[in-house]
Amino acid sequence: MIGDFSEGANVVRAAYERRMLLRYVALTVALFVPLLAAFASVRNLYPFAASTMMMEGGELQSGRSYYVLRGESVAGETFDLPPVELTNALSGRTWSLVAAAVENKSFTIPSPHPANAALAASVGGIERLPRAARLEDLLRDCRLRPRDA
Amino acid sequence: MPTDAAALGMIRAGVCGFVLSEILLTSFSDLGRLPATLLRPTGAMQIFSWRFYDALLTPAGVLALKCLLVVSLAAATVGYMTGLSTKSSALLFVFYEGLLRSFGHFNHDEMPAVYILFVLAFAPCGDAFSVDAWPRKSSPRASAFVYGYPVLLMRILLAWSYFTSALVKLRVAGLNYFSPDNLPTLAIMHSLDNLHDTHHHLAFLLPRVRHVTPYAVALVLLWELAFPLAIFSKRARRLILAAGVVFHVVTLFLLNVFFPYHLAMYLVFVDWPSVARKLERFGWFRRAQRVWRELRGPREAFAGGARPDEPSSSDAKEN
Repeated sequence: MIGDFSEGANVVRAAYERRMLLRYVALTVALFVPLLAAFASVRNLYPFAASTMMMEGGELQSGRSYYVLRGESVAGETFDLPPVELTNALSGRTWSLVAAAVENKSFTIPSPHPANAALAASVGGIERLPRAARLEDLLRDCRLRPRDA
Repeated sequence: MPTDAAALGMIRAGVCGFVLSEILLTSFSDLGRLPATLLRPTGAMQIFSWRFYDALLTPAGVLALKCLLVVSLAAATVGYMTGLSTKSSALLFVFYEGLLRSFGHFNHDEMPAVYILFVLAFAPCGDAFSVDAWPRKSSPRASAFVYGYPVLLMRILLAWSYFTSALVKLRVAGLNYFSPDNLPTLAIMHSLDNLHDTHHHLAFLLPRVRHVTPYAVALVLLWELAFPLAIFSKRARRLILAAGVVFHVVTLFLLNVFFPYHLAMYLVFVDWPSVARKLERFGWFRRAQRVWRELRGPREAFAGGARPDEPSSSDAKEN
């Protein structure tokens, strides 16, 4: 009986390992085909990254914009207010969020938020929008609060 | 290359535990206060409607997301309902990271962790070192391939991130990447604002040593190109991973850019059962092992082990 079981167990095991082999082939293809495509096109298409980190720099003549968040005390004193001291919600991405908000990038995507589409239509098109049209929303929504979750 | 169930289980616990700690330490309530009008859904995130994002980006909506992530990752860390919890962790984490990238830029730090979670989701990583393995009291029995291939795949995915990063730099920037102004400009660019997570100013010293920076950049590029050697060679692995730690710490102080997820994922290169064997020299570790064995109960004498879908050894006796 034990011999029969051992043979049966081997058959079950072989079938299990065949299933795992197929699963691993599918997983490898599902991960690496899009990764290869992203790499070949040098284009990040979430969730597939093209490893385009730290490519910029070098050009001394090209201008750069950077932003500093400052606050004002009741006494009228201006002080630097690093966002990371207020929240870590975006962990390392605040600088690019602010730059995108200043450049109205959320208006230029193929399918913008209905409120953004309405705002752009109300001023006669995206090109007529004032710079940083939604920055006020960001500053209002991200005022100093204790971390609570 | 470790090829046993325990190694895969330990990697699962380490990866999921790290992601869990990061999620626990992040303020989701503030994320929920960001206006949806600043969102630019990236890639696969475009499949969700604006109505969905409006409902999600509220303190209650993101708190629900955080609760789901914490429960799922905690279960995956301890190996409870591992098949389900690793899959839900991978799906929730890929969604959460996509949400963050829809506000900011497409940064690369967490991406290997996303892929590694997907590998774990489709590997039998709950067969050992897990709550799921407790009732069996037997070692899992499958070929080295079943447990070894996922470890190999995870190592390749991390090496891919570094290796292709070097190739893309060479392809896009060419030899200009070795310009003496490249590193100082890049570093200073990331040190001017106060919006980064750190505010180190060592970048402003770089122009004084700009003639040396091309060599440093070339060295880093060579290290990135050599990273795949860490997959197979033990000696190369020690050198490459140590250099990786130094590199990421230096970028933190010079560029205000840090890659904690990349660093944490180095754990897929460690043979954890071998580390555990080395720790047996220490009395405290042996005592902890004894407590663990008593908690787990004695192993059955004939436990060659069986997978859950195989008849158990006790069934065999009855037959």
